[in-house]
Amino acid sequence: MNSTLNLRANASVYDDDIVRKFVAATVLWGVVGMLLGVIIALQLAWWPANLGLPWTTFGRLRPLHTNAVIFAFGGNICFAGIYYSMQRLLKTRMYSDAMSAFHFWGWQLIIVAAAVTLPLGFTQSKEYAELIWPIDVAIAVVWVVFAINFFGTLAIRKVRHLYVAIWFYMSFVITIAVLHIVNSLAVPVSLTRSYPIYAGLTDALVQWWYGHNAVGFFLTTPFLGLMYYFLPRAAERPVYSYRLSIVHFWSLVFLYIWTGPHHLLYSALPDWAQTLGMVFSIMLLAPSWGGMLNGLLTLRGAWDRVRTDPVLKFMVVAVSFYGMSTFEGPMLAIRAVNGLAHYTNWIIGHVHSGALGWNGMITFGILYWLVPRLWNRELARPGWATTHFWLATIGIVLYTLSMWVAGLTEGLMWRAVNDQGLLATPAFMDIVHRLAPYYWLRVTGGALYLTGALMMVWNLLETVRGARPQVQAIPAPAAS
Amino acid sequence: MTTDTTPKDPFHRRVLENKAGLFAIVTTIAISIGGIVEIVPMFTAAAGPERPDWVSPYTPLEVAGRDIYIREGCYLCHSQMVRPMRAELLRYGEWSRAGEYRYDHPFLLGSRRIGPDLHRVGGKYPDAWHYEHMRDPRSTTPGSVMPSYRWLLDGRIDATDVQASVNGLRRVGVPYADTAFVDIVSSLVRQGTGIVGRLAEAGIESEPDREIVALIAYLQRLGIDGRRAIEAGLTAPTGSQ
Amino acid sequence: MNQVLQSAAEHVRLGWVLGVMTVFFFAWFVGWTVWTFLPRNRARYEEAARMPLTDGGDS
Repeated sequence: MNSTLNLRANASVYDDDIVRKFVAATVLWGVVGMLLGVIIALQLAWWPANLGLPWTTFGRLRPLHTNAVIFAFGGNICFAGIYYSMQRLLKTRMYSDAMSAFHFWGWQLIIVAAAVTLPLGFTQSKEYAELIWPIDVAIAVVWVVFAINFFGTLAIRKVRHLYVAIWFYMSFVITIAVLHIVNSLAVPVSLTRSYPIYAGLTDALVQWWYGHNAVGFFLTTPFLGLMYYFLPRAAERPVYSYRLSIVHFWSLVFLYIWTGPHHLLYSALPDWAQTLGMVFSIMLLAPSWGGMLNGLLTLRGAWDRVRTDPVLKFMVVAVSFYGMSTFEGPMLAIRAVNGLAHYTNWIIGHVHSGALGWNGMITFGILYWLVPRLWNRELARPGWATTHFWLATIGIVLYTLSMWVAGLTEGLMWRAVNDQGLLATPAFMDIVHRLAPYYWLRVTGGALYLTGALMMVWNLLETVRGARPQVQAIPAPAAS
Repeated sequence: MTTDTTPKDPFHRRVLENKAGLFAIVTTIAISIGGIVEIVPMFTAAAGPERPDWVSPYTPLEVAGRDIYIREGCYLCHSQMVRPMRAELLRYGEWSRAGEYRYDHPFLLGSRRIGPDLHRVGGKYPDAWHYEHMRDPRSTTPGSVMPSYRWLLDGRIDATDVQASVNGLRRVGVPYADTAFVDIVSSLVRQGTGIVGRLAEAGIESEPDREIVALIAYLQRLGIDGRRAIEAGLTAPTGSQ
Repeated sequence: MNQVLQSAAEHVRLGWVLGVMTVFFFAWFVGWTVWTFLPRNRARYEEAARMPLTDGGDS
């Protein structure tokens, strides 16, 4: 296959150039996305930060923040990790260099297009699926090319068994395609506007089926795949239980897809759909914790190294936050709890314990492990990495605690009824005022997290400056 | 590592974990079941939300206003879903029925209440209140954290764009009887002039094709059909809740 | 049939479908788990678990 198409420049070495590109993009967009997060957090604490311009208001920048961190920061590290690990697990170069390059540049172009269109107010309004239809089409095209490259690599692999990380990657490739296409079906009315074919609560159900599984299959399964590869590599020991990972994989991918309706509890969506969403969300706790325990137990006997190695520090905290947010999630999906927490800052805190704690921390860990190997250099400032770790951890704690308290405050005040059967706080503004200190605390937490990330950027730049990366030959697979 | 399989290998190892294509198919089935079970029934009349005839489509001016609501990301801070809870009924009014969203392409339920819910905001405040609130939120609501939307006071809607929107909505199933350009324009002018007149009574000067006028038209429409139907006892007795 | 009865009938039918589905998927899950943890598969999976560590190291 490779000889007829001549797709690969040099089939005897790994393509690490594409990995370096995705790593650079991860770092760049990560900082942009986090900076936007701090800005919109500031806008809630201090409204003049909206700057009085249409394209800098909260309503236009929030989608840019979410898209940047999920699809630009999160997406690029997944691609970097997948291209690095799957070549090594399968003992082959990627199927097509051209497709790898198309995937990289196509994805970055989509991000740039998002960064231009969202502040201009071009949006489809569905959360995490705001991008207008021409960009949606571009995403579908790039994704199909990525899928062909992915499955092509599987077809030419030199190792029969597919390591569990590859399973998680595969569920990512397949499910995101299905979710994106079904949720984006719309009739265009101009180059920048379109209306979805679904209406009302059906549209809402399709969107949250998509939305929650963007969390499940963009921020969870590929990252679990990365965990199953990079954590054993960094810890230099195999995963605690491979068999647990098998059970946990199938349970996770089967259960996750049902959970969307928990975003629509107490709506007029039919009761049976709400109940399914709640029940499956609660069941999801089991496979989620299966994955977390598998990750943490991989480090048994290596805890002394966690104390000294910043890479392992980041990974341990990441897996712990994964466990915490996947405990909090099922709790929030219980109808009665959701009745209190829905619409409040508690949900924002929950999302960020996952995004900052799990996705962010494991990404930092992988970057600190990968960059020195990709560029053949020692990390310039290991001490800074440890400082980064503490800034990020304190930042997350400030963020989640402040949002948790803010969420409880507003949730309780919204519903409080006095002895006469009247609202205890009828003026909505009285509740808004109460949240100001928590909003400032959140800005502080976010700023600390961003500061840590900036230290990482400097550290990595210093590490790679003047470096000459070497190509790595693909070893022959071990005989059976 | 084994590079090949032998017939002695267990079934799933021989067939499933070693055959990428089959593995992909099984994964696709596993991730599809939940979505199919939950979403498909929404399209069948029996299990889906009630299909009432007491809701009418948005007028062209309201469609233009809704497009502005989407453009500015209002749904990121304001929900449009009143839950069937005592405090919400007291604070906002009747809880939101499924049928009220019948012509909402896209849905705008929202996921956050940085500001209050808007599903029953129609008719709650005069047009002039909304005008002032958009110009400077703190003039009507001291301490508000909402940005000012001054540019809506000067921005103009384009009748051709509105026609395209109405046509697009008709293509996705909203029953607009007539979308001829002249009818769109006359509808826009009629409704816009009414709002401009009410603004003038409050000493505010505006024009029927301003963006603020369209947005006011949309906001004043929110929840109205549903409230009328509920008061008249037209919503289904069992409903879907 | 009046509307209330019809909706009740739908609920009963739906309950059956959900019940059978739950039992079916749970049985599948238990079977799969037991099979995965059968002692005869142990060695293979321990070998598979070492895959990231034997990938032609670069460190």
